[in-house]
Amino acid sequence: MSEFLEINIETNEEIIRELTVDEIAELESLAAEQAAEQANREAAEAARQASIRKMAEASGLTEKEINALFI
Amino acid sequence: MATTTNYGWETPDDTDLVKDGALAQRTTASAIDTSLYNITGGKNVGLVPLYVGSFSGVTGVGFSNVFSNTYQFYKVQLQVYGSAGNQPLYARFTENGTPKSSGYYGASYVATVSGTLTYGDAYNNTSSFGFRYIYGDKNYINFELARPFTTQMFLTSSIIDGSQNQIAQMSVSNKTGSNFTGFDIFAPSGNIAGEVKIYGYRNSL
Repeated sequence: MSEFLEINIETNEEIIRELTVDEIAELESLAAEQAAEQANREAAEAARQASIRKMAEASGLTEKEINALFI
Repeated sequence: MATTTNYGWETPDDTDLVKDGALAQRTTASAIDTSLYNITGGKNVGLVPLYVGSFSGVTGVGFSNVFSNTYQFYKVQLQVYGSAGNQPLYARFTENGTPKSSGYYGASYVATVSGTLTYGDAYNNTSSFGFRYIYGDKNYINFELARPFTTQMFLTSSIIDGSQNQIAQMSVSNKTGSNFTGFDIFAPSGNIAGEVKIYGYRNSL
């Protein structure tokens, strides 16, 4: 069950309520968006690493040295 | 002359005359007044604790009645634990309990401690903004707010010592909101737990 805690810091009153349908839908949307972003980042990082490996092979430099050129 | 143990404030001797009591009280009070002023750096300075507490087993937490005209600047310190692993912790401001679900503009920058991965995120009129990332434990988030009750500026730094050792910096503002009174934090999946401390900066000396 998804619950949300509301804290009124003036009165120290705490209320736990269940999430509304809209809130659950928003969280699901954020989770899907996040998963897509993560996949994109991992793919971009993999491509970057592959490119660095190629440059290292072609140049004779180490991957660490190639990396340092781009920082 | 008798004095106190720690600060050496002058107090009356047992043999002092009763008729000198008023002067003795003024002398002691004046010494205390001076010490307090020097120790605190001013008459009304420093951080004022507004809330200290913890939470667990919930999808999100909303803090209400936090911001007002009393303080212009605030500090929030969070130690958050996420049950779902690698995911951002989202946040948004609230206006008298109603979430402000638009108008967030900002940018974040994330790097691993080893420096092998860096990327940035931009927020362009989004419905919330994310602290990236939280993991199972040891996610420390500290953020500073300027004038959330009038105009909106929001700064944060997030130091994360989870499984991937990521560090994030972020700045976010909201151009369209007004009179924010609180804020929500929530995770897109799983539950969160943690501790929170909220402070207000005194406005004047």
